[in-house]
Amino acid sequence: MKALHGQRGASLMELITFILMTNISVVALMLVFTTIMNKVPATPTLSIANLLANQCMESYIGQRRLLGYSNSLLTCSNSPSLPANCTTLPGFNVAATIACNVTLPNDGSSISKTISVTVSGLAKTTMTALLASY
Amino acid sequence: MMKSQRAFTLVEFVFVILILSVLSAFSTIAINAGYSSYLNANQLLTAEAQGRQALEIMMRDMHQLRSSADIVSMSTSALSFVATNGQTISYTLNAGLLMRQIGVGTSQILGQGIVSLGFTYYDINNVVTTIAANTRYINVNLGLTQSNASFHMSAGIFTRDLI
Repeated sequence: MKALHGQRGASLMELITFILMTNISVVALMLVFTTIMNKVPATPTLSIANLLANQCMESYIGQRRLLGYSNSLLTCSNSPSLPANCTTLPGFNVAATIACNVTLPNDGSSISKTISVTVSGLAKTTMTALLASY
Repeated sequence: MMKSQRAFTLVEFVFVILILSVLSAFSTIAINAGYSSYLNANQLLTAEAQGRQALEIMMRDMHQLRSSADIVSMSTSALSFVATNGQTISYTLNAGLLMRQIGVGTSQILGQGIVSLGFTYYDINNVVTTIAANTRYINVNLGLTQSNASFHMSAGIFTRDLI
């Protein structure tokens, strides 16, 4: 069939260029996908960190109920010693702060303490609870 | 036939096929790497979800302990106690399966791919104890293996009613 004036197919160079560009795009997309998937941590660290923080907070709540508001493990401090059952796992660090909230007018006594448990390392999380004296 | 119309030559076709083959090889490598990464991440997340769910169920159960007298038996690898509904709940590890048995009925599978199950018991002063009557805190440690990666999950339970 005779071609109409001005109509022609793609040349070999155009075809090769198209194939090259398509493949480069596909490979680039797959590399991006691979990079993103490799960013997923080798272990589900955030869940582990949350469980560790919760474990430590359970211990503080237990101390409050079992030994009272003024027991030595609930002494207000920026770096209190952690209860023995407030354990950790490799790659994680657990720390806590206990802040005393004084009454108004300020008579120096506290009616509540803010407990913050912070887990750092492979993942970071902070859990906070308020313990009251009553 | 017009002078400008002609088909591809054999050499041109072979050249295109060669280019396509080389590019396909590179594409296959990239796709395979991406798919492998996806599978690994998916398996890890599945294991994490199982471990998390198992620990949540165990924590909920143990929070229902009414009295230290309800602890039927306890060891570093198993625990059995009477729940508030009067039924005995037991946790054991059997061939990679974390089992939860209620009464004498069929065991439920809480998790798969569990390589270790550990219990640690603490008394009122946070000292490790082996005496059921003194137990106030229970720590549970699960070891999981998935996709050539091993990790541990740990949860602590303050048995609120054992005061």
